[in-house]
Amino acid sequence: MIIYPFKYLGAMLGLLLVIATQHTFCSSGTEPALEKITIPLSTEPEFTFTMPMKSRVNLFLLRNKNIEAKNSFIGRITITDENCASGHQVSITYEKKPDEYLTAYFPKEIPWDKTYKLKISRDSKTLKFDLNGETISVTPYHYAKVIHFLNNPEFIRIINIEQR
Amino acid sequence: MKHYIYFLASIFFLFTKNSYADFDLANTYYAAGNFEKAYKEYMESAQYGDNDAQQNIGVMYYRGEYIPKNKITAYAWMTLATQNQGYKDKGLNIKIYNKFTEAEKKIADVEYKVLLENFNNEAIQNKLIPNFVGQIGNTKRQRIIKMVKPEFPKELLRKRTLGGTVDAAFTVDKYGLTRDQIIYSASDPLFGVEALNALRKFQYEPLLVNGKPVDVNGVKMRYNFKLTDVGYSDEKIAKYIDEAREKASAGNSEDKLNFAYLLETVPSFAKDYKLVDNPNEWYVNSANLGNYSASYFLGRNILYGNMCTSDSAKSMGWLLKAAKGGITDAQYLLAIESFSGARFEKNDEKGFYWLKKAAEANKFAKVKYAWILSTHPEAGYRNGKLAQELLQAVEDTHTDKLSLYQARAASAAETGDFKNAIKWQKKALEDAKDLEIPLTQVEQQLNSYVNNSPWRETI
Repeated sequence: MIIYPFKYLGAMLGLLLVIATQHTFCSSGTEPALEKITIPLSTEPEFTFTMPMKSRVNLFLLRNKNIEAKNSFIGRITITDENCASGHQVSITYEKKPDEYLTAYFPKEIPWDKTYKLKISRDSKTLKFDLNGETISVTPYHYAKVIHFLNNPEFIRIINIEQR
Repeated sequence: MKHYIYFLASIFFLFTKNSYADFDLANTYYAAGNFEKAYKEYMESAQYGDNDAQQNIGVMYYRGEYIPKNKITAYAWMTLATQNQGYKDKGLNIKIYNKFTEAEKKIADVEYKVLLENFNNEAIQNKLIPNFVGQIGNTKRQRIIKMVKPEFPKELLRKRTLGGTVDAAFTVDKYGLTRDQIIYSASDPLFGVEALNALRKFQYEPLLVNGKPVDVNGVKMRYNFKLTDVGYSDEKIAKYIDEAREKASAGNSEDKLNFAYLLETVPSFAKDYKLVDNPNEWYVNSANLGNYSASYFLGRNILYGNMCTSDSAKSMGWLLKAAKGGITDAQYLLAIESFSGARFEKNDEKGFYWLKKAAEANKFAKVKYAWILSTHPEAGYRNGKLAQELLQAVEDTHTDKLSLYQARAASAAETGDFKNAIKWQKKALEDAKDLEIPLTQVEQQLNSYVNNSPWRETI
């Protein structure tokens, strides 16, 4: 049996109580919110934007406008460079039932130089995400009312937001 | 004749060294008179810097076993083995050399020089150093599709415990389910229980290698339990890492291993923190000082391309070192990869060899060994009785209940006891339902037992 190195792990425990705020299931929470945009999902928004290579961003689906409110989180759209050789991977993570989170991945990477077109529409509790011609539909446990960008301008360049 | 006896004595001495695992496999072949397989095993080990194997390659050349008799090549390999002081002290190579003619000596010198250039211990160490890349290297991480948030233990709520952490490791099997779950560090055992319950429900996308779904062993995860958000600080992590780095730089192999491991856990609790150091560099530093745990972690990372370029040959070198050093996780990984053939050459014989070794001290390996003994498609490899004996040593409290129940069912079926096979498989099905994981595979196995047919499966 392997002997796992505990020395630092044990020492880290005290430290973690002070420093750990990572919402493993909720938000990254580590980047300062330099730009905040909140759009009601009743309007079927369509976002047009670009992202530079080697960058990562989360768009949060919320029950209300206040991201800080308890239990506000319903899901997130994550655009990340993880696993990618030439573009970003985009996924939708959402709460399927209390404390259970499912993640669906768009099949194709979005090439780094490509413009993103993300349209969100709903049919009752089901949310439909159209991204550059591909679609994912999810039914979160709670009703999502708004989408919230916690965006660092270095990461995402919004070209246009259209609301119908 | 004198030399012949001397060599026999030498071989006998080597054969009694239990710490050399892959070398032991070669010895087994040699003792059985299977010189071809013995030579191949010795050669593989020799090329990864095993001085004992280098010595025995020399002996095989001296005797002409499998390969044509060649005293000059024998001398070259034996002299290479004198990088180990024990062989230098014995001076067998010198005795052979002294019997050469002047012309033979010149050829022998050149042959030794060529071997030394390629296989000196330092050159081999350098060849095994991975190509380091950052967190975002061009490697495919396994994608998670279902996460379950563990509950904060009620008893700890009553005690007003503010939070804690749990470190876990597990295998993701070819179906994307977690197996072999182990909690190896928990700030309170109750956190460990909740983390384990949640982890067993996780699901991943199956990882494909050349289109084939494969197991991924040794996945690490850290859980943070907390009641309140108390402020994340990159500065505090950076300061802590700086201090740990300083200690690792000045410290021994264990300090370097601890630092490497710390670095590897950082992304699991601070995903966006940008690591400056690559843990694999520190694993190399530790492993080169003889730390076998570091060799295992490094071999695993190189195999899966975790913060370095994936390289099966280099990975094999580190995993063999760790396995020979008695690290059962490394033996287990070598076994699974030998059975699978996705990343290493497929070799069931080797798979069984390593799995048997690992099962001596590792319960997850024991369950896996029993499963394969019961379900292998080739009758010659199956042994239901041995599988049942192995499983008797695994308690009902085993963390990976699903695998245990499935193995018990499969071994019962293999011995023709379908009544018990159905009983255990129903327990597996019950467990799978509780975990809310896909039931297809478990149900198919149950149907097989209901129809008096043992289950067969390739890894």
